[in-house]
Formats: sequence, structure tokens, C-alpha cells
Amino acid sequence: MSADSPRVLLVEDNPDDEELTIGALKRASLTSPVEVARDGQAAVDYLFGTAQQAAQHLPVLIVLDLKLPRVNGLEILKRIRADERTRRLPVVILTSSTEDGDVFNGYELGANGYVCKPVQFDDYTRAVGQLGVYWLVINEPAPPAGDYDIGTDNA
Amino acid sequence: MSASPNDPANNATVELDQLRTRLAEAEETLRAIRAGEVDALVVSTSDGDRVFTLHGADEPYRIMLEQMSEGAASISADGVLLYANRRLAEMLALPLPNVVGAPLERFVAPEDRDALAKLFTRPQGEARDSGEVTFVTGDGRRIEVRVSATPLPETTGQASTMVATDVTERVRAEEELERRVHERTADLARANRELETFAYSVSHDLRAPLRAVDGFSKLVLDEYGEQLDEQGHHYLERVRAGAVRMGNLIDEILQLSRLSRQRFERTPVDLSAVAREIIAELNDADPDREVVVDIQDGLHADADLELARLVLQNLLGNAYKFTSKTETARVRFGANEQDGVPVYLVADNGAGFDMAHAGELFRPFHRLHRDSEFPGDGIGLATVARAIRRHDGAIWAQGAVDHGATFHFTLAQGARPPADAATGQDVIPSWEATGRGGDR
Repeated sequence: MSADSPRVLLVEDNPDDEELTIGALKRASLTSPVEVARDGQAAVDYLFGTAQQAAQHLPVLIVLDLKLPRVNGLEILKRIRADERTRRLPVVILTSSTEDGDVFNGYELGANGYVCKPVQFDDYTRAVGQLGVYWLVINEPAPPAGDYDIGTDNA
Repeated sequence: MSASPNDPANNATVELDQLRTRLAEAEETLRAIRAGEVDALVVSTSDGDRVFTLHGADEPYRIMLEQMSEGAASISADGVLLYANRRLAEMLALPLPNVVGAPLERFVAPEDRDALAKLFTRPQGEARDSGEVTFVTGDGRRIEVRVSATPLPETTGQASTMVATDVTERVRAEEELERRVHERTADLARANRELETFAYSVSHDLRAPLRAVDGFSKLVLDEYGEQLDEQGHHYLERVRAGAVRMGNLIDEILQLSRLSRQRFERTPVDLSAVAREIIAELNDADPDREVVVDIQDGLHADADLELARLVLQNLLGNAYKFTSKTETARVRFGANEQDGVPVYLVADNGAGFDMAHAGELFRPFHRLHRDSEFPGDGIGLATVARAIRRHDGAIWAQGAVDHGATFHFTLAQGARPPADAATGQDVIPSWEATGRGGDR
């Protein structure tokens, strides 16, 4: 059962935010196990490292902070989008930064969403809960890669 | 007996006539030289033209010219130096004979030859013309020379005279000064950027612990609320309220720091329409308020739309706020013309302010009212002042306690505030470096 449960990878270096985010997902009645990478390198290791045993450990959703020790969030995003195994994974940026540059670059590098961490707990819980419900319940994830015609041929 | 071409007597007559003519010419030349009408002679020789200068009636002037600390020369219509003083030869680091008889153009840097030609093509009778030209000396140095050219009457046989002053040192000093100004400007811009980055980073770093303060207080309330008495709940709510307040402050600081960094673009803006939109938003936010609003039609400006909106949002929002305790609240947006530029104004009949404290008005976090009277964080007018500054405009305020406030502003250079008004120009928060953002 747990091997099949869709996992969430939370990339977050702040232990307070980690606890608040996991708490918020729980409050939204989401039971998906949450793996936490506490710096950028840990996230890269988790997704691409030798410990990574093929596709079964890949998360269905990556919640990504931007300001991270060692490898920053945008760099991780770039690598996720460059790798065939991970390029279709939904990545939602969850960060304190409201800088236009960060938002722009987030989308430029292929983020599926950008959410600014609200300061107030109620807003925070609502935002994280809603993004969890959308990506884990409502949204249909990409199936494993196959020989699909993209359908843009004129033939 | 008719004369034949080979008749020796006839030949002698023709030759005699020619000699007479040449003698007359020579006498006329001598007369002209004696009369001081000639400065130099050009003599054709087998080696080419040679120029001879003369001692004559004008010798005192020549001596004076030779003693000048500036270069002096006279120049023919085709640009040849007919006369040059010693100083000019010194400036050019060449022996005098190499200078006289040479085209002036030869000593001028190629890129400045057109500029030089222009100086010497003024019609005679016009005032002298002067300009700075780069000369190249005999030993290859480049010197900056101020050339004053004066056209001469045609009868003198010369086109113009020239006075040349070596201004190399002054030009070098100016270049040095310009370089230093450039350097300082770059230093300032860098310091400014660093400060902005600092404000940005600090604001973000401050937000994370605030989330923890609010979040875990709320969790205590939610999960252990039953074990707390009323006072305990009250304290935790105070903690949370503090966190929210600080969160808002940080947002405002971020916005303020962003204001001077964000792109600035002037487009035609219909200020009346923007003001009407903002009034509609204010009415929606507080449908129970009754405010008599008067917006002058047809107010247009070349302004940055986003910043202009921010200015009006803050000023009209303040006008609404400070009339909340006024019986018949009135808010007006209009414009007057002063010194040829429109001066916009937002006026209300609300709580007003004491002009004695007006200097504080545009300072971040300074408030003239207690929070319990009119809530606010004291950053709105600082934001407005900065947005106005990016337009090279001015803002000033006039008011009296319980008699309302009027904020005047411009969105371009021009009109200046009256001496007794509180201005937003001289109030630069100490943590903000002077100078504008990246739009320069």
C-alpha cells in the first residue's frame, strides 16, 4: 500500500515551515506520505541519486522552496526539467519570495505553479491545503512514458 | 614693307613692352610692401612655392605676436599658413620653417579636420568663430587646442587669422573630473543595489520566523485551547496580532524597496479614470461609508501607470480614512496649472494634521495619528513620495487639525512647492541611498 501511495517531495530547509506545511496537508485530509529534502543537494540526491531505485520512488508532486543551502531551488527545477524521468512531474514553488524575477524565472524554467508563503497561519494552511488537494486529488498526473502520438502531424 | 614675325626690330618692341609691364608690377609690389599691405610673398621657384615674410611698417605688431603666449597665424584661402608665430611652432613641436607654408590641416587630427574647416568657412565680416580641435604635434603627441578664427577682408590677400590656445591641461582635467563623477555614480548605484538587496533579503528572512510565531501560536490555541483560560487565549491572540502587524510592515518595506528598482515607463495615463476606479474599489470595500467625491474630468499625464495608480491609491485611500469621523465627508481630485505644468491635488475635509509636524509626513513609519484613531503603518506617504520622485516630480501637503488635508503633486519637473508647505522631497529615509533606480 505505502509503496503505491503517491508521495510528495517537500524541498524545505526551514524546520518551522516544514512542520507547518506537513501540518497544513494533514489538515486538508491529505494522507500522502511526505518526503522531506532539507537542502538542495538532498533533493537532487533523492531524485537522481544512486539511492534512487527507478521510478517507484518518484513523487507525484514536488513542493519546492527557492532559497536553499547548497543547490538553490531554481537549479533543482532546471535539472528536474532536463531529465527524461522527471520532466513531467508537477513542481509547485512554495517560497517567501514575491520578487518578479523569481516568479518569472520559476515559470521560465517550467514550474507548474508559484505560491507565496503567507505569514498568517490560517492563510498558510488554506494555501498549502488547496494546492495539495488540487495536485494530489483533482489533477491527473502524466502516465509513464509510451509511444504516444502528440497529434500535431498534418498527415 | 610689312612687318614679318621674324622681324628682329618688331621682336625687340614686344620684349620691351613685356619688360615694362613686369617693371610696373614690381614697382607696385614694392609700393605695397612699403605701405605695409603685404605680410608675405609667395615666390615660385624650381623647388615649388616658397613663402617669404617681410619686415615692414607692421613690425611692432609682429613683435607683439611673437611675444604672445598663444599661437597666432594667418591663413590663405586654401588653408596654407602664411605666417605663424614662434609659440605656434613650439606648440606643434616643429621648427618654424616647417610650419609656415604648410597647410594647417596637416597638424590637425584627421577626425577633427571637418570641424576645423567649418571654423574657417565663415563669410568675411562675420564675427570670429571658435572651437576646440585636437592637433597632432611633430613628435606625435595629441594636444587639445582652442582655435579662434577671424575672417579677413579680401584686400589683404589672406582669408583669415587664427589664435590657438593650448587647453590640453584643462581638457584632461575635465576628462578626469568626468571619469571621477562616473566612478562615484557607479559606486553610489552599487551601494544602492546592495542596500536594496539587503532590504529584500532581510524582509524575506524576517518572514519565516514570523510564520512560526503565528503558526505555532495558532496550533497551541487549536490543540491545547481547552487547557488555557481566557487570559491565556488573550495573550496568544496578542502574539498573533503582533505577528500579523509585523508581516504587513515587512510587506510594505518590500514594496518600498521594489519601487525604486522596478521598471519605469511613461505612457499617456488617464488619471481621472484611474481615480474613478480607485474610488469604486474604496466604496466596494466599505459600502456603508457615504463620501461626496468630486473627480475632475480629463486629467491626463505622461506617467508610469503602475506608479501613478499607487500614488492615487494611497492619497485617495488616506482621504477616505481620515474623513471616517467627519460628518459630511468630501474628497476631491483635481488639478491646477502652475509654472506651465499641471499640479494635481487630492483634498479632503477630514482630520487633517498639524503643520508643525508636517516634516514627518513623508518619512517611513512616522505617523501623526494614533493607531486607535486611524489605523495605518506610516509607510503609504513614503511610498507616494518615492513614486513621485521617480517621475522627477514634487509632492507637498497643506492641512490643519480637523480642517482637512490637501496633497499637491506633479509628475514631471517644473512647479515647486510653496515655501510653507510640507514637502516629500527633502525627506530621504536614512537607510535609502540617494539616486534613482535602474532607469537612468
